[in-house]
Amino acid sequence: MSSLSSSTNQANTTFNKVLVLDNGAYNIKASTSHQHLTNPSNPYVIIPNQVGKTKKDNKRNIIGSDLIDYPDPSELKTRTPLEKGYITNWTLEKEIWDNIFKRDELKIKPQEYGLLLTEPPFALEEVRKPMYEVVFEQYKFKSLYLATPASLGLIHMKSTNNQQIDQQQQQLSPSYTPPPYSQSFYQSPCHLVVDCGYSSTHVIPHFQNTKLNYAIKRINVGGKILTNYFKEIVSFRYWDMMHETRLMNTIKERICYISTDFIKDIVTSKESPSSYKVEYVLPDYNNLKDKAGYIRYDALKGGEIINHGNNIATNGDDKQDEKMTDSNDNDDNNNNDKDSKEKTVKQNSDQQEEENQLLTLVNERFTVPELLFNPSDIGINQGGLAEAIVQSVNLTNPNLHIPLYSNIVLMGGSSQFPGFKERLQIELRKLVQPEYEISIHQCQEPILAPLYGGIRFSQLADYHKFTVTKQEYDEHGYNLCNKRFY
Amino acid sequence: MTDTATATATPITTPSKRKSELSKRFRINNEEDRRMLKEKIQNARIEALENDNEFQSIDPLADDDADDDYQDEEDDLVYSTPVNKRKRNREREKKRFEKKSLNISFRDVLEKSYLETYPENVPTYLTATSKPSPLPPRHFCSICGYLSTYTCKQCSSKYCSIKCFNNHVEYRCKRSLY
Repeated sequence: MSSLSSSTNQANTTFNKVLVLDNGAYNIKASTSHQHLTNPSNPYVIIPNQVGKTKKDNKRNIIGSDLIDYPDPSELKTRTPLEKGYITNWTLEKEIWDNIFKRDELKIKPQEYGLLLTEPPFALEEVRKPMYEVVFEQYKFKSLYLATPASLGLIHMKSTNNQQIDQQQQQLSPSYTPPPYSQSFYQSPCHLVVDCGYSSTHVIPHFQNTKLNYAIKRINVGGKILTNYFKEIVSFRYWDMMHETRLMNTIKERICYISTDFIKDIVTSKESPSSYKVEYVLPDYNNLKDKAGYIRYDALKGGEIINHGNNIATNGDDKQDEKMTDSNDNDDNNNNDKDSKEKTVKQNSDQQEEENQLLTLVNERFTVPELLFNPSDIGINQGGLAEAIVQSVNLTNPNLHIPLYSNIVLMGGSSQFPGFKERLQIELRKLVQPEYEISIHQCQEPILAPLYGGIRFSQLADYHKFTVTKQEYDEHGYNLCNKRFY
Repeated sequence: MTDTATATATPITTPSKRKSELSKRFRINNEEDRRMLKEKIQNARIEALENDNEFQSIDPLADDDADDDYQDEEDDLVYSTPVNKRKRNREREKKRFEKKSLNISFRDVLEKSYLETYPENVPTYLTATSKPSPLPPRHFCSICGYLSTYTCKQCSSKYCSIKCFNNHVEYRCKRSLY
């Protein structure tokens, strides 16, 4: 991978026509690599990896942006083609892929493209067989490469420095921005990638961008379990939300954070809940404008989130909390918030507020993401994230221990919880020998990094060496594929 | 009541006796069976939390097939010639076969691949799970979610106060199972 910058220059003349598909369990991310490089302004498609159906219209499948924009989400029955991150229902997956290929952003014919598909590590042979059949025999893709999202994300993160090297002359100019990660990150050959996805969390050590299969560790806790657990708690204590998975997922993303001192927080939150309390206004589906709801602002306090002022005193993650709400809210939602604020101030009508369904959350905010570090809290008999990292590192060669601990990379949607990095640092410090340095890098695009990395990888001059072409598949069958994508 | 003196004289033996005995009111008196049942309930809950499809029917092929039949019937109404029907039947069978080969259930596949028989040094899906923590699990109130100190005698789930306990008895207690 050291020849990355030079090889991309070569590739500029002849693009590899490759479709990059990051097949996540929550969202599916797709882009064609040559389109992305020629026109970076409209680079990718991101749609939910789900198929929706309604009671009224049982025949029609609702896919993609129709699913997000569907006026009444409570009517929808959604199904996903994946189980534990692996594709198992190909009839559904094919419908979603068809939808992607037809979309205006891509408009591609599979026969003319190669495919770069992401897949969690240790896919079983029986899971892969139908995949080869669909990719080669039904879509007739030219070639296939299977990659772990973590490895691709790492390629993207490393490439941020290479771009800067290309622009070395501009370093003197005032607009120069230093690379986002420290120099030791770019120089070290060893990286420990923590991919905190929707279906599970993987700890994958890498040596020179190659994953070390024998040291991979998995925790069966991901965004999905957190959302389902959150849903279960809320349904028991407050409102019945069992069929509102997507809504609960957005509420989780906006409200939850990882506590840096869990026991202290849970004790103090019982004594004085006001400093932890957040009131969330649930959406009213009759009013089409607002579909995700919003955090209620206290009109008296001048529009501050009620808990924020106090939270600063107890936790140090107020800044990140703000960052999270900023990044997750779309512009529309922000406008909605502002609108609603103005409404309450202008009309000053308590009636309107009473009509809204309020969800008051206290300890749920930090007990839910806590499962990542303590799966035993709900009876999952596995070690937490910090323990999994230590187990994984101990399986590698002793010479790699120091560089692995000093290059931990956080990736995936669930790593966006505020306080994640700080908590992991604290937990690891307790378990790792004091002479080892621990430094954690948070990926800047935790969700899209594998897609960008895939695009970069597919433009390598020797990309074709890694792939299995359709011809090879026709001759040797899936045994060759299994050999190549270990 | 006659031998109060002996009761005070041997305080160590009496509690140990009590510990091993289970009330006869329980449906399952065997301690081993109780533990098994408890584990079973726990596993069912974890599986429900890990469930990918909340609306999934038990047989993953069932509702897709139903859809197709419906579609076929409608097609039949429009053009119904015997030749076409035969052709369509063949196509339908082909489709169904394709579905069976393309749609799999992860649990079945995991069972069939017999990963337990692999040698220890080969990393597989099963060996990749992180090993359980050496620390004992923490206990939270099953009602309000705060730290709990008490255990329900009937179903051994946790609670933190009388208020939560009353709630628990009313809605959550699974004593009928034991």
